[in-house]
Amino acid sequence: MYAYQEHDQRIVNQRVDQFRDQMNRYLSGDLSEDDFRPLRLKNGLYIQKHAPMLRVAIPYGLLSSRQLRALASISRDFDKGYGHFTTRQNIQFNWLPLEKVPDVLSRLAEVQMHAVQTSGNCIRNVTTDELAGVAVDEVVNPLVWCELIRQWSTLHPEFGYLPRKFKIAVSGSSVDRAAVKLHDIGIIAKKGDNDEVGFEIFVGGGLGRTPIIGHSIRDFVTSTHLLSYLEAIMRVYNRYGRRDNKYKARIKILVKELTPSVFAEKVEEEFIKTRVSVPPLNSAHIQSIERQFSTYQFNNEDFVSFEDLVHLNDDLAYQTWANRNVKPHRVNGYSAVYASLKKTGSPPGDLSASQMDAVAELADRFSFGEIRVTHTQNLVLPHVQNKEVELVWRELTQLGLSSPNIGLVTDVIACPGGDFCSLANAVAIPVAKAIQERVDDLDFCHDIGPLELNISGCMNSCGHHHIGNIGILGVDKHGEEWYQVTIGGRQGLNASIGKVIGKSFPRGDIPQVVENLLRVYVERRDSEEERFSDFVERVGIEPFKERVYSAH
Amino acid sequence: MHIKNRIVVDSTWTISDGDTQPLGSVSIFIPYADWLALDENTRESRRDTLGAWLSVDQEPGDLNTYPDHLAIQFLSFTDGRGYSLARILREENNYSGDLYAVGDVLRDQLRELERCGFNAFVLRSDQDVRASISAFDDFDYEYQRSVVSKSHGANSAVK
Repeated sequence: MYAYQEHDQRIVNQRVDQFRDQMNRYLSGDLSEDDFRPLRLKNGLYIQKHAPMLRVAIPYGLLSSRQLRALASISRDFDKGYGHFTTRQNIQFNWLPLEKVPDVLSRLAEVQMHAVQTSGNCIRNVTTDELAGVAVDEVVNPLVWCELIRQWSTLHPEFGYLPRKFKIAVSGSSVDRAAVKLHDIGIIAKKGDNDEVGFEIFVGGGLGRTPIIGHSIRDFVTSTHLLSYLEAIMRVYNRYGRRDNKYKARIKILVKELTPSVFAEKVEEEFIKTRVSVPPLNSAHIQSIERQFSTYQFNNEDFVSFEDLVHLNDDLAYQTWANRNVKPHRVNGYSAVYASLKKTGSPPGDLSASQMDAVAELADRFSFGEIRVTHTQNLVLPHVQNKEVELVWRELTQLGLSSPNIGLVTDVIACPGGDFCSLANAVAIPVAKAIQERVDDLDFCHDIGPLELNISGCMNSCGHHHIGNIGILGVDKHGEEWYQVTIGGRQGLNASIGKVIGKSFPRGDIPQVVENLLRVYVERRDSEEERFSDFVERVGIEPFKERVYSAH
Repeated sequence: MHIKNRIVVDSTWTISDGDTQPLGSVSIFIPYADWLALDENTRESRRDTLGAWLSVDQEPGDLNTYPDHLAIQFLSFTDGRGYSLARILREENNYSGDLYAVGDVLRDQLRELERCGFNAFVLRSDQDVRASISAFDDFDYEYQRSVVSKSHGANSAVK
């Protein structure tokens, strides 16, 4: 965990006071709806279909047990007793009374949390690998860099009114679990000569109406100049990004219109100046941030290896779960244990207040009080001793959080959809449920193997359907809910955008369509090692089309 | 009424699209190109009441002569280009005269505008100018070095 320094706390407290004053002026009529909207959005507050929605930042997905308990009590005291974890590692409350929001922010501030820049046309919460500092394949721990970026971007005076929202993700592993190529800025931390830390910078990736894979514009920015380089990118975007059309205002359009190489040149020109105007990150400052992160006393008593933990119980249910939901830790004898928020029938990413309290308790008992939020809307207990993994499984099972489906087709990623969101064309959660029910047969599910299925209720793509191996998008047809299906999308360093298979389907057909797609894959793949999207790349979309539309 | 160096001043400034005649006691900003076209005597004799305004998409590299009073006009407070332009004028062009934010300028933007180098503000007419002064003190710490942290010596993570 990053523990706030005194000034971090002061900023958050003062932001609460500032927002309370803005809210008071709005409620008293001194501040018009138009003037208030950008101010409330910059603090994560939407006016939604049924009630206001508040999006709370969980910087880079790192959460303490104390914070999770506070979220539980907020959901109990102000909302309907649950929260929704998002694909950007945040949490949303969907039923808050507007006038109570400043009180909620005060409660958050007590546990070093806030809603700063979780929405609006500004730099959003920075995201990273859920296994940061834990993963065996990690080259550079991204957490300290994420915190430096969080601080630099927080209330940055120059970039509060960008053309559009702006998302930054950081990865420090040889495998990308942060979808860096699908962000406005994607950063891969790596090591250069003499083990010097530096960063490869991608720009212009993103989903939405125009999905684009980001372009690498610099192979290696030294750590000293990370922030000045980011500032140069932001300044070019702030000055030249389109403001005439909301749908063309993201940085990806600017990069595309200028071409990536011309954009890169403009950034380099600006970088000559920002290298001087932005103070370099010196090692003393970096270390002062590093010191604020918790360090843990790992224990080697009763050592159980990662390979052996699956044998702690002969129960097939345990073994299936352990093989699927437990990932190795860089410290021998420890593992990262996933709590699945994708039990069939419960809305993806939702967690009740009592489950939050219980997970906080588990984190205290087994994981140094630390929890991670994943961009696939699950939770992780990142530091569990292998000998205790079986016990954690029992506890998670009691809580309904042990579905053995991390990374499988039933681990559906979905936005809140038309049930909650006023932007959505169509519902997402009931579709997720219908698909889960259709493919819930465990053997079939495990036979399919790793597969990402994403659902978005509209073109805003909060459910990241473009990069789902199977993507489902809600569209409006004469006031009816229909769904467009894409296949072949992929995250990671080899990211790709899915292709539309053909005309859209009514809601009731979707489970059968998904099953047909899966059957084509399972019947015709080279081997179990050939992943769904690799198969699509090899055979094209025709075999899928044939099956899906002839069956129709 | 406007704000200058965090103090409410009774006199005020207005934006003109070309007319150079002051309206009573109101000083005016004319388009930068028009100001540049004036002869030096006129500029000098009216330096206290005649300034120039820039639009937010002005290329700062083209500027090298400045009036004592320079304004950036905000047509919409959500257009953030003026913030970058102000910083460049201060940090790269080394403009040291008064820099005014004029137009759709609201209380809730004052602090950020100041941190980007504006020191004078002609607020939108519906704003309560006196009450707005407190907005400068909404925060007493900043994570980034800004134009202000150099001149005011405010607390900052990186000095």
